[in-house]
Amino acid sequence: MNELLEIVGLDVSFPSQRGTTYAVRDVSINVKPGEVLGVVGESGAGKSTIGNAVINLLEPPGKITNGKVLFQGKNISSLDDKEMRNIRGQKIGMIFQDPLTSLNPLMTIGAQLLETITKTTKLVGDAVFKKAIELLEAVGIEQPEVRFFAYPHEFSGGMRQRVVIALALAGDPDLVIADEPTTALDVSIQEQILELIRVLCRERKLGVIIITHDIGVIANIADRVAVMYDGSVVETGKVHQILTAPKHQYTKSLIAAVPRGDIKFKRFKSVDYIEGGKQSYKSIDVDQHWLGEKVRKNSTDKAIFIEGLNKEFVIKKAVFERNRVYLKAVKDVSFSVEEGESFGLVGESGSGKSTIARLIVGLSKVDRGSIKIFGQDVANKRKDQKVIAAQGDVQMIFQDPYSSLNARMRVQDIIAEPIRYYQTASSDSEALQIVGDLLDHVGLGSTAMLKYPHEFSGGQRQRISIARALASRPKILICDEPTSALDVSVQAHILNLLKDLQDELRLTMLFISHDLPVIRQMCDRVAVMRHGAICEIATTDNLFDAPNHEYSKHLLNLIPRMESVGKKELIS
Amino acid sequence: MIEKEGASDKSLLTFFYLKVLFANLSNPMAFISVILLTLIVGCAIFAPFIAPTDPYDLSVVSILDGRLAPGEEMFDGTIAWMGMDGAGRDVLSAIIYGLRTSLIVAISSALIALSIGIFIGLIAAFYGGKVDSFLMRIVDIQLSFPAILVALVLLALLGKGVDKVIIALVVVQWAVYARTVRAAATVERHKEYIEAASCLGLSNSRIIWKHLLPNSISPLIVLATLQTAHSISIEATLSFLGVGVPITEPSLGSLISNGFDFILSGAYWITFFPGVMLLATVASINILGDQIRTILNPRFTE
Repeated sequence: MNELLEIVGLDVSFPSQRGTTYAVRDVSINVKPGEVLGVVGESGAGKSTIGNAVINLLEPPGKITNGKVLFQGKNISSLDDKEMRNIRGQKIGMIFQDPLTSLNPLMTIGAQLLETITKTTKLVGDAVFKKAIELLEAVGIEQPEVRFFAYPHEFSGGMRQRVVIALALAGDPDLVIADEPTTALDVSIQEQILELIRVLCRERKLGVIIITHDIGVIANIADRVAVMYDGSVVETGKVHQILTAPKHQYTKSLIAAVPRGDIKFKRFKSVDYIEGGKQSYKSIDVDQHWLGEKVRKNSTDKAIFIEGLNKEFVIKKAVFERNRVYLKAVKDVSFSVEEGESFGLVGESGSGKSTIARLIVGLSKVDRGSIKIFGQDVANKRKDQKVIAAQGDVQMIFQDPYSSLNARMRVQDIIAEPIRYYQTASSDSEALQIVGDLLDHVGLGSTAMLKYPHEFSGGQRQRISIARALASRPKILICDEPTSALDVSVQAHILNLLKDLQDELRLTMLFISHDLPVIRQMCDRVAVMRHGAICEIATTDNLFDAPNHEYSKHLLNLIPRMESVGKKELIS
Repeated sequence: MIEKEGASDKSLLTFFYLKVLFANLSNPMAFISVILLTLIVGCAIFAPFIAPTDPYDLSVVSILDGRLAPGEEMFDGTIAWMGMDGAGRDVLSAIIYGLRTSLIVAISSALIALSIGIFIGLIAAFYGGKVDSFLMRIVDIQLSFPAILVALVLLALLGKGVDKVIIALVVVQWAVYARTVRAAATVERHKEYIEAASCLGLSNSRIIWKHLLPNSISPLIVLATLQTAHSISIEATLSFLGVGVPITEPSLGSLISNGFDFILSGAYWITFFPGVMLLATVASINILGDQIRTILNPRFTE
């Protein structure tokens, strides 16, 4: 079969005052019609740059400095803007990550489709309309004649992504480049969108390039995969071969770092190939150290005890009570966590899991119900001294490492803040000594003390967050999606760190995630949440091996399984 | 996984960029405005040493020199480069001293208004809800009156004097700062580091001053510059209308007004030179403000 797209020895460089950086170096990949090529790599690997280089939409000052992009045998990297515009849309379609921003909010989706179709095909009049309806039908939008007149905000995220796919297909392209097409979507929607891409690819003999960080997505959809690291393709091959018998050291590390839903490991395999892998973790003798000084009452009370918890948000304000519209974020939730246990809350976005975390630490007010931390009710009285003390036992690690640190403070001041504020250290030099120990403890090293947060990567910032949380000597650590903004290899490091800390400091952990395999690796017991209510509470092993509730089964089915790799190859 | 631009990192470098501005004045407009502004501020500070005569010293003012044209020789033999006003004062000296008054009024009112604005804006953004609505409605009401009208009414009530003018300028300006700070702080308020700070159990005032404030003030650097220029013009207008600073402590505005009576009889210089000076001051501050804005905004930098 002829190659549809052939990239030969592509170099993309970004010249700047401080010298030229190569985003892509000597990359050669190819795609045949009807084939799905996955490009996988972590942030900064240059995978999106390849997609942009193909359609010549590199952000200045980036430019192709070497190599060729052959599309249907023709070199398209040297075409000018006008010729290129004809190829984009007509020959090559693009699907972007965020369906909300890639649609124009002021135009109906019908108008956007019509515009694209008239631009990219020679159709006129009724034929255009007909084609638009056909496309909407093809991407699985029900009642296309009605939905045609709807605006993007009237669609859900998954439906919007379908519209984006319809737009990409409007010019009957031969090649579709999908850049992280499902990253902004929930797992259940992700499955549907990938299925749709797969079907369209087969029916229309499309070549598809899927760019993603998610090996699960690759396992699900791709025929072949190119693994990228630091601008270069380190390995190319059939998906089955790459996932089961990777050759390159990086690919091995990457695959080992992906949390598995089927087996529980004690720790993640150490991923040494990737930056940060060699960080030494320095343990602290807790009994001798300041960290262990805080008196631990051996209370019989449960660490967290929640009963009949309710929380509503006003989503439509009104003067009169009856006109207000409420969203029930948490409905009659009850669970308890034993001291030293790690408890998981899992659910899709909007299931209320983060709201529970915010209620426990006192960031939002409880409407009804009680939250007891080691027997002290913290739900209703906020100003009480005992409540404040009880809440001091709880610390939270946030999702976004980029916004959870004050950019104007040095790392040492960020971490020392609770120590200084509560004067838990005898002097400021002791406080700084403790900060140094904490930084060593989370694997950053005390050299980080004088730097500012922006000098660190996402994973390192998350370590700083953890050190800050530890500085107030908590007994309970609430982790709200602590790794969902991080690359898999970094995620493995952070999860290992959390496990070690839990063992060493005997922390109780409430672990919130949408990612079932991560939950499996981290938690003893799990609560599955949906629409603000708990569906099922079970030990992790029980839940994964024999789920009771329908919804739990549904969620478990959606985990992209490494075992299923190659299933698709057998079918076709 | 999620690739983010370090937007907050950019604003962190605010002061670094200010340094860059002075070090790397490749833009001729910026260069001229910085030089001009330095000269103007220098003149104002060192007025007693630079000015040829002391316009306040009645013993050297001679009515015989009244309305000398620029370049003519005074009674005592020195040359009046910018002429003499109706009472026989040297216009050049009056301008240099007038600049002093104008700048003192503008800068001190800007600083006071800035402090009040930052305080109100941060309180509104941090507490949100009813506090926010209440404070912001006051701001709305304040901003719905024309600045010059409010200042006129206030000065009519308070009377003349440099301190009174400063009070009037603070009253008309604090709301602008409050609104800007509130907008920036509201964005920061919902970031996770503020939540993390309240998780640590820090007091509200500590969160506001230590965490919210340093992250919310970078837009004010530009605004404060532009507002200073604005308050120089308001002060000049007020003085021109005769309600501003007293004639014994002339500002640029009162100098312009002073010469207005003579302009039809051909003695243009009494009004013209203070007017040019006012223009140069306001324009150079404005250009500088624009340059800082450009430098601080990552979208403009290439």
